[in-house]
Amino acid sequence: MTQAQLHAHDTSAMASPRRGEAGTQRRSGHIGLGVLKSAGPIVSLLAMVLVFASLTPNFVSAANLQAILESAAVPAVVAIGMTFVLVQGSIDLSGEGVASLANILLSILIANSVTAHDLGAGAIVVALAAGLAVGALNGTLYAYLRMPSLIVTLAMWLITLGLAALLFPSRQPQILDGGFVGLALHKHLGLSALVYLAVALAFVAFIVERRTKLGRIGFAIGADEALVRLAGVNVNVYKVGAFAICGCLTGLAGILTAAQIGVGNPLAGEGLLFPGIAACVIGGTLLSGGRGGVLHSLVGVLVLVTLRNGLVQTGANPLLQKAIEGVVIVVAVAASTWHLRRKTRVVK
Amino acid sequence: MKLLKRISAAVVAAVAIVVGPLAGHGAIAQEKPKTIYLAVGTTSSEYWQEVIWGAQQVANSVGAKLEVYESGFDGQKHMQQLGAILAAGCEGCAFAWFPDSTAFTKAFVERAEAGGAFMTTMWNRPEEIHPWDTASDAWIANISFDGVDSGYQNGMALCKAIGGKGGIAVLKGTPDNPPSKQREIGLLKAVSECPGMTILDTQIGNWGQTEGQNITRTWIARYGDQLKGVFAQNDGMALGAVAALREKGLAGKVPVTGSDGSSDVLKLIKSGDMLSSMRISSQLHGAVAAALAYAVASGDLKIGDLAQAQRDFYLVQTLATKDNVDAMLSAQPNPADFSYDALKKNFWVRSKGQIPVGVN
Repeated sequence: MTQAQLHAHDTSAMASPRRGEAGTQRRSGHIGLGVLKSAGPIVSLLAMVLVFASLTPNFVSAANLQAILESAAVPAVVAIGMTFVLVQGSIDLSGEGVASLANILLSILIANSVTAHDLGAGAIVVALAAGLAVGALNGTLYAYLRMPSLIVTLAMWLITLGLAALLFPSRQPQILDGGFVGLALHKHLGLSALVYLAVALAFVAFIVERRTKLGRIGFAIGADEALVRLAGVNVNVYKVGAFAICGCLTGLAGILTAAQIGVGNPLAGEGLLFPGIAACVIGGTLLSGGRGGVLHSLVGVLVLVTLRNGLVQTGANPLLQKAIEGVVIVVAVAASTWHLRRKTRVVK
Repeated sequence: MKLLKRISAAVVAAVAIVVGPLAGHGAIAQEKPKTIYLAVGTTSSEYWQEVIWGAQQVANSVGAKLEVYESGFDGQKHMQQLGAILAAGCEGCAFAWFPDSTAFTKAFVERAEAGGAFMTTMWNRPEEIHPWDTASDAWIANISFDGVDSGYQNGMALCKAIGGKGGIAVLKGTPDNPPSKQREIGLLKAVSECPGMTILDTQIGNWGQTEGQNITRTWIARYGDQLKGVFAQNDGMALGAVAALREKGLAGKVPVTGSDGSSDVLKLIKSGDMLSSMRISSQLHGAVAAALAYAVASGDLKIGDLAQAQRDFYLVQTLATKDNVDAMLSAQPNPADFSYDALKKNFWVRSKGQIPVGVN
């Protein structure tokens, strides 16, 4: 068998997100059971919707569903990017810094109340490029210098937050570009462009994940990197690719935050990271890699956003809300990984 | 030219050698500090930038260096920084310090005392300790702004704006910190004086823009027309609330109040998207904290001579509304007003009085 054949054989066998398991089920005719097994997160989401709807009818009103989707748009973009890194078994902690950096870069380069710059769409390109560059640098340091991604990205978190603070012009720049702010304000069928953008990105990311080498080899790296290396795949390239995607999308999240608030803020990324990671895990994307995917993570985002919305809608005690969130995360993750508990996976 | 410079330098040096010991004899009591140490929560906010600016004017005016220590609101980080400065030997140093939470205040002032340094604190003092009863040789003063007054005045402005009747929703910062608690006490006082105004819901927004926006969005869906106003405990959450209202074309129709008076919020008040915000004198905050620390460290002021009202006080603040916002936006602080000599005439001239019992 040539190197190429070996490569094709191994990666295709490994690359299915539900590798092995799904194939076996298909052959033995247990599709229904398989779907049920991986449907834990969706079941959790639906159960939550039912509970909240029974507590307050207003919960399922069109206005509230719009509110949920608007609030989910930015976390969804973060979670999509994060998924590419998590399925490889790595982690990217730099998100809050990268989003803050992109946010402040955008808001001082687009027409604003503090600086004289007005690059228009160019500002978006610069901010996205910054996110992409930081992500690629994360990946390069991790893959080629063989430093743990946890440490590399932790350092990059601090570096990018520091850069954002340096760029901050002492006053929060108000964004004066009407078209840009309009992304969050102008509604089509009740939803802003941000929601449509998040949905479109999810679609593209799903295609990349399932239909391209970048996506499929990503899963294989997470499942068994040694095997993929043995197959002659240049693993490092795919690692850098995943981090670059994550950095770029996190930068985009920072940009979208600027559109939502209409003001640049060097701490805009605060509070994006852990909900982003939690969303992926709730949706069934494992931190150990090899399992899950973009759609899973999106369900996780909806679980978290719906939960927060529902707690406000039903008038839950605000002091209890964090605790309730924690309980739901544990329950949702238990539900979504229940079928894995007997497998010989190492939990760490 | 060069020669002239050298000669004059030599003359100056010679004079210094002869006169130095004599001059030093008189001033032996206390050496003037060469550095003022300033601790801030973050450098990424307008308020803290203005605090730094104020302290910088004081440092410039006495020829001292200002060293700024940023913690990202992490008390442990400030603790390590203070420990490092004091470990290098810092007797008689001047510290204008921000305790990241009330849990750290006592530890900071006691460390300063152990190191023989002097410290003023900003914002966070636990209810049960004061500069005159804790590390009283080192802790000069605690300087803050009246959150009760902020809550009350914003609350009354909201009451007037909704015609004295209707439901409002409250965005709270964090459950456990003095400004958050004070602003709530003030709001409740306003509600008791404006019985037609009722609080529909209170949520914790952690001072953040995005959280303020998400919560307000949910309120709009939950309460619809019932929501007549939003009371946000700071400008960040108020910005988020305005953004959420704007999405539904309600900005300016549902009044929003904040607290801090940052320039972006002043602009929203001017445009009518926001109702009011308590503008605190942030430059003054940094300047007075730095100047008092310097005054004691340099021997211009004796801690023992200070009254309690001089050691735990509020600084002036003004409610920003549409009526006065233009003047606020065009006002440029004059560095001369923040020089040490200007402040020294009376450090407490812009004090709003001693911090009362029961608000921290």
